[in-house]
Amino acid sequence: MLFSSLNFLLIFLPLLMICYYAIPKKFVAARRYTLMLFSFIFYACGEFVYFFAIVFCVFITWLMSKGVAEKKKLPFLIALGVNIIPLIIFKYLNFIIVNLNLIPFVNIPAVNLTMPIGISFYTFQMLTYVIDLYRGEVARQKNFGYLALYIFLFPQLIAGPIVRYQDVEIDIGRCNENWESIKQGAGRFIKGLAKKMLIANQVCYICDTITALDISEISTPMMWLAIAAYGLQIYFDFSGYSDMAIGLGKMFGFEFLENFNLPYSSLSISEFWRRWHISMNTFFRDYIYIPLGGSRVSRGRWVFNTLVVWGFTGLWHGAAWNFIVWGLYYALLLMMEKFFMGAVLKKIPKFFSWCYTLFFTAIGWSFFMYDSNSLTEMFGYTLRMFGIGEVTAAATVRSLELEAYIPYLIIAAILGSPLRTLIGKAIEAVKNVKTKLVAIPYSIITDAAQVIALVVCVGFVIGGSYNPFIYFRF
Amino acid sequence: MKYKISVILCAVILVGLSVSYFFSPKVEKSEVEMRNMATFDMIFNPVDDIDPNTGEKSVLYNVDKSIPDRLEDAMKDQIFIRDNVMAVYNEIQAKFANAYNGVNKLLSAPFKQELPDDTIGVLETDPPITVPDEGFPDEYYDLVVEEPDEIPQSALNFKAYPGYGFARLKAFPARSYEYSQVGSMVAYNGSDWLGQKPSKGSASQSGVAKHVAQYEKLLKEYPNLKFYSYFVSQMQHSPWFHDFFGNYPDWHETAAQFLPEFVEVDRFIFYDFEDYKDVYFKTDHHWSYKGSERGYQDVYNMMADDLGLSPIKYPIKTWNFTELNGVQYRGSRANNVRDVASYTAYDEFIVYEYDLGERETFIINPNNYTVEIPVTMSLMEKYKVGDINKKDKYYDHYINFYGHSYDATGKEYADSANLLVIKNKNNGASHNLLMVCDSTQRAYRDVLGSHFGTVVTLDYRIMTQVPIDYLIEKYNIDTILCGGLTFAWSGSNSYLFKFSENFGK
Repeated sequence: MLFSSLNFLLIFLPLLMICYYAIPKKFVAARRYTLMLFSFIFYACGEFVYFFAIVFCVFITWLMSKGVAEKKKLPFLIALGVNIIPLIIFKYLNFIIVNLNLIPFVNIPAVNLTMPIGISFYTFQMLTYVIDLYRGEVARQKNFGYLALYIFLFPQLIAGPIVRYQDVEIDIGRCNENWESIKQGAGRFIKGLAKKMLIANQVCYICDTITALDISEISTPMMWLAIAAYGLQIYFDFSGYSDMAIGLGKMFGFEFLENFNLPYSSLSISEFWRRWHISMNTFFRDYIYIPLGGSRVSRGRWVFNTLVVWGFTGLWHGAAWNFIVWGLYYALLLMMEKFFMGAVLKKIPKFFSWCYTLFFTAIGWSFFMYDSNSLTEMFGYTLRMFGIGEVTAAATVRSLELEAYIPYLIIAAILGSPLRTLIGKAIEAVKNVKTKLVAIPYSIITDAAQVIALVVCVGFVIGGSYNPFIYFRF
Repeated sequence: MKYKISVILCAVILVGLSVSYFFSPKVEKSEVEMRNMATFDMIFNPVDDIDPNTGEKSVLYNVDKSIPDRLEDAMKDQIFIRDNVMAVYNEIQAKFANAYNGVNKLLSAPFKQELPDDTIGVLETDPPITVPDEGFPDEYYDLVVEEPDEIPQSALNFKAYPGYGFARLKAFPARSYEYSQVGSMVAYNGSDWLGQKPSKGSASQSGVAKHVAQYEKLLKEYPNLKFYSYFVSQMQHSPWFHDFFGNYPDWHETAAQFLPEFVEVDRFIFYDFEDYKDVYFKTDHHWSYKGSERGYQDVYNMMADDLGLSPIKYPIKTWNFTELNGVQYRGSRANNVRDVASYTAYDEFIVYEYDLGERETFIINPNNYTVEIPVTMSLMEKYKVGDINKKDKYYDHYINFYGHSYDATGKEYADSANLLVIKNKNNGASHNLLMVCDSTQRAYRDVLGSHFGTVVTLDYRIMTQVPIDYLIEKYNIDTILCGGLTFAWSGSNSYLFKFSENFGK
């Protein structure tokens, strides 16, 4: 079930809120179990069969947790294995087989398994619990229901952010929500929904339409248009989803950490990665990079650590070579910045640093956007960005009927750029004026904007079924 | 309190919409979108609507994860504010498109010596190919095949050729015609001929298979049924017409190769732009009178020997209704560009009249399909005296003329929403025809129908409402012609027949 669906907005969420808030706040366990039950339903609606498999993994982890807390290796390895093995099987096994079959005389039949929704996210969450428990950084969760709630907690279950157990450890056992947090959460949810419905989904149409063409039909400007649209779409989609998750978390008394912080205003690649998908980066930093030695090692070892971490980062995004290349590409850029480019970026005007970051991020998206194991295909699109390759018949914005979507792209570009910081500062300045003359209209306007945004977003969700038969006229 | 108001307002909106979904009246069809709307019934019993053959799977179908998807579809289609939402959304999109075009025009003004960015391809100025009535000139035929059995079903370009047995038409020369955007249409070749943009399309084998499975199901029950299919190619379906997309098999070709041998297949082909201009309107997507005559002859020739039809008929009169009561004909495509001031072309609206013999005609409401209402089919008689609706200055004569019938009180019925029955008298015909068709077929329905005893016309848009076996048995149907656009019988979940509950029992 998607947050941007009518099932969620008009049935699941209202029902949950009625059932949850009808329980007096003092009955913490009853509220939490209600939330758990609804989270189960949320996941089962999309993955009826795998739901039981995840419950099984959580149960084994819960069983092993006593031994893990006592730093016993076998329970720790079992708890790790029961969580990592499904990820390897469902996400990577076929990729491994396909690549093994490239070896002469090896011919292993491929397995085509449907990947459980959100497996990359909930697996990592479970790992944070198991590893932190083993390290003694969190207390053992004795209540199986609460542990299950942590994993199945619907706001962050299928698309993150990757919430560490230590970040919600206290919130699970209490009901901290009040009218203020509910209002803030609802506002954040609507903001995320608007990002998804009003921007990401519209910009997505540009990218999808262009990339559906054969490469011989995509001119260089159109390729850049597709990349720009893709970069903005993925940002607004993912950060919108994170906003919705954070907002919903707030509504039910959970404080999730921020996942995006205006990444397209970064002045270097390393800054970009401090602002993009923060929960994933901190996971790799704390659970792979630092255990490998981090940056306090020899230069050679640091290069190795960086390649490993970014290889895994690429692989986490998908089981295909383009993702690995994408990860290693960023490893290379980060090395470049560490060794010499970082110093150059500090000296040149900020505008050029910003352009540099956008340029290399855009190239990165050209690897990322085509889920492919064919390097020729992948690089074909990257080369086309620089005018390399034959264009036999170039499509245009007009021939693809994209005119109506370009304004959305412009709005997305403004809201995704450093201009957004200026807009944010101006809003913040108004917000901080304490005189009633400003504060009351500000409050009315923001509240009204939220309500209107919700109605418009629901309208856009409904509009998703509009299907005019323009082409197939009778 | 200051935190409560907006939260409560949002909650009321969501709960209100949710409640309204369950209690508001449901819409079964959308005329704008030309499809059946998803309904609450579909959530738990979608199988009958989609494919009766999968009935035994319905239990599993109903417990799998597609239920939320179907609920989502039903909610989107049935929520009471849907029409308003669409109107607002389309308005926004139109404004945005205008804004983009305005800015683009300003930006491109300094470069107007350059080719406009919407020009595609180059016009090849080959001498136009003229298509004589008897077929292509010899040089357009290639391989001689001795045994007709060797001709694959998909080879639509094979045809009987006197003196050779069977011959294959050479590949058409690749052509490419310039076009420019005009409103939501394109105008070709610097001309005022409107078309839709070419679009790649190919039929899926599984989609065709669903339809074929229904044919086979019918054949099992009615072994004497004969099936014919006739595709109506238009510009946007013809890859050879648009070199833009290179050489790929088109929708019709791919669909046809998945059809079994018991379906006779033919298609309407035009040979180049000049030929196209002869057989289609410039402002509409339907055939001109010459196109419908060619279509009639194609279909007649496909069926005549097989069924022993009476001799082919030729027009006895030609009527020109181009301008009536000050209203000049502009077709549906022109309606889509009516706001584009630069586009001002009008069309000719000419029709042939045939000697149809003595007959009675009826319409049948698909919701109560046992009642026949006597009507006059087509508005020929009304047009002859200029009795036409003047509500729109771009009045679409084709749909009006061929797509309506009227009863003794003058009430008009749209063909797309009703079944039509022709009962010919004293023509000695021994076969009865069911035409499963779209609007393109209406222009030759009357004359083709005059070779049969009874003719029933079932529009694709209402085919899921009336059981096909009911029609076959009631009207003793032995011939089925599926005509028009291929997608209508190659879609994976659409345009499938409905069967009676007791069918086959």
